Amino acid sequence: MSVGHAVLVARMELTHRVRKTTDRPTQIVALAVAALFGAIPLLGSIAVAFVVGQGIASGTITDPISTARLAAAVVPLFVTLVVTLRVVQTSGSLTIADGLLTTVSHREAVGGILLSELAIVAVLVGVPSVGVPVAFAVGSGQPAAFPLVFVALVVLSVLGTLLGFVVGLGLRNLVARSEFLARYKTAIGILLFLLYFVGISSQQAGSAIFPVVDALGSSPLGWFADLALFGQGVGADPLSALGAVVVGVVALPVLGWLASWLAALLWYTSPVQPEEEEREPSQMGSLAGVSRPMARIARKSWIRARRGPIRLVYVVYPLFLLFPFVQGAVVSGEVPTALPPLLAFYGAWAAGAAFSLNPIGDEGPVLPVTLTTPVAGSTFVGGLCLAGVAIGVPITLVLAVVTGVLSGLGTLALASVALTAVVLPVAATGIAVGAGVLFPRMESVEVFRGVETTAPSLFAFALYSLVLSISGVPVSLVSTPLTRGIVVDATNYGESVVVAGGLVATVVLAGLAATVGYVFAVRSFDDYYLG
Amino acid sequence: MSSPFAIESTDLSKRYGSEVAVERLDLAVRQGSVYGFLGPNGAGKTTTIRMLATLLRPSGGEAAIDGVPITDRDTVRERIGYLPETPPLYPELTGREQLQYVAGLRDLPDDEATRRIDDLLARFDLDEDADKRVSTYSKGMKQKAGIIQAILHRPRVVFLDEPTSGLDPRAARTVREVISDLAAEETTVFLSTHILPVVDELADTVGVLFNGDLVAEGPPQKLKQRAETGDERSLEDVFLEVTQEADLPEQAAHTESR
Repeated sequence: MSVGHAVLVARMELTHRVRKTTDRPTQIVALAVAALFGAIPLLGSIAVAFVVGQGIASGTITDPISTARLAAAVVPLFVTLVVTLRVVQTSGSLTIADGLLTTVSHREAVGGILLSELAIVAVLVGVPSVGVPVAFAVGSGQPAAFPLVFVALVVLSVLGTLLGFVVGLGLRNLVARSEFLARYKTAIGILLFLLYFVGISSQQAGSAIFPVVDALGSSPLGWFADLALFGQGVGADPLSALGAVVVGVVALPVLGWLASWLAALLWYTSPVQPEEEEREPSQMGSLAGVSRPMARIARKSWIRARRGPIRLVYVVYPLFLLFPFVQGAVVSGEVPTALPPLLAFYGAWAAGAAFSLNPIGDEGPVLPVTLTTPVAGSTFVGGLCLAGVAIGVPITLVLAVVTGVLSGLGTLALASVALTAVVLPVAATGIAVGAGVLFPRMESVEVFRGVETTAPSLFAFALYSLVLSISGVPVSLVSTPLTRGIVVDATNYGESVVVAGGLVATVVLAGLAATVGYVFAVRSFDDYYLG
Repeated sequence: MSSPFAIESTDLSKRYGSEVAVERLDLAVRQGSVYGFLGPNGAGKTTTIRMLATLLRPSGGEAAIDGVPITDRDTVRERIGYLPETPPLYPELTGREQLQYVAGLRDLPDDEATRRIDDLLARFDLDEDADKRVSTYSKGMKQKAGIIQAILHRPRVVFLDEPTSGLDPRAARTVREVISDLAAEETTVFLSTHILPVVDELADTVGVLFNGDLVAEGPPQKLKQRAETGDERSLEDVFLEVTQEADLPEQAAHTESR
């Protein structure tokens, strides 16, 4: 195996990934935000190391070893999780697999990918890997502590990287060989993400993770704490410290070999293709009362969404904003009165965003064919709107009415919410097609880690959400008792007048915006040229 | 009275800023003929087809399809079929659903569409895979589905951009047979390809586009006949010769300017 080849592969992989990221301004912003939030715990760990060092020196911390063993478990656990995720989503695949694997050995390719991952991990944990030992040495007043703590942290990070690589490649191999996993990998991924999100949001994650950290701290990983604190006079076990050295010397090559073996298994295997044949000859069918072309456009949108749900993952994102309300309802057993109008609004937003927010770009490679058929703009745009309305209205209505009844909304407010749940989704699709045609996106973007699709543009999202929000303000104000009371007091009109007024104002605003959006989209489609 | 020409263009041009993609192109393609449209990469073939198929707005000149100006997009679209270089298919749909979708956009009656789709699927040997998703199709299968979709509604004029690309010999032969049949049914086929034997076999007229100019045009036999000696050469020789000749004045001008 040539180390030079591996280094070259690593350099090219890093260059490719860095350029791919920096080519997209939104990713740079996202990275900057992540770095900002990530810096807090990383810098916090340095401060904690200083305080712990001081505590040991002054004798206020009497049993630092058991705490340090937990820390020794957290470091590789964190790195393993990060690297596993990265390997599963992206870095488990070679960028130019066929070219690379017919040029260098797979060991050199694995070595290159591993080196590039280590470089990324070094960026993540580089500062604390140096900062923590320095802070601890300064805090404890023992400069000799620096090298041992530093070595322990570096070895734990490398171990975590290799372990993440092995776990990630193992998972990728399972998916490559199991038809069930291959078929439902997206659904499983979303389920795991939702579980993670619920765990984080409900603050139960700590109680779930602590036993794992505790167990890992008691495993040979904990020995690295004895190595780090060896000679500090805090009761570090010399045998455990020696054991850590042995673990490092043995585990690193073993994990490296395992990673290479798993990579070869993955890269030289034709992954199973989930059987995509439909159960029976598929029919596009018709829809009662709708012209054939319009019905086909709506049905095509539904079929694409059903078979590629990840394309619509962006529709789910705003649901996270509703999570505190849902969580509050579950915990307290009472549905807050703000939830029904919020659900009506979200349902309307989703109905518009799902199928209508990128009418031109979402056609993808089929656009030339769509444009060379005699289908009129009104039919094309109408079909997309129909796709959102036919699904969005019933779901939104049921959600809004059921939560409205459970929350104890009065009859008037309930009627207002119900009407909103019917009117707003219809208007939303009109607003969405207008915004989508004004700001189309033709190129694919990453909507979920490693998954690319032609999602609507950010400008279309912003314009659509803004116009829909403004349209929904009047009815939102009169749908909850608190704000309705304020409006009643301010206007001196009766409740029923205020509710009716809010509803009419929203219908007028949304109707106007939807009409403008719809007409604009129809005309734009009719006059559309590829260049 | 209908025009004897299925495709006509006069001074048809397309510019992107100062870049000239197609320069004052004059075409006259007879009804029911096969027109082989040749040219090296970047010559302007796809741009020309896209203008004629109402997908690109010309910068100058005019054109008509089946006697209808290309500015009347709705009418032109009823009469044409188009297969772009990349088969235009939704990966999430099955082949049959894709064809039903396009039949629906063209408002073909359901029974007629079903009959036609079944016939063409069988003809292209795609019937057994019709209910599999397009995402599982090979390049050749996608190309077949793209061709079926272009001729599904029996258009008067079909624009085929590299129709035999990615096809195995059997499928390529089917495509050639279909093109012959289309011509026999008075459908005009405007065929752009790099595979010169296909053009040699099928085309009634060949046009060679180079740097946006039509540098040679005529029946293949006539083009292949060497004017001075009467020897016959291959279409490939003709292609290389006319594109080189067309390049010479530019090279000379470039040399003089230096």
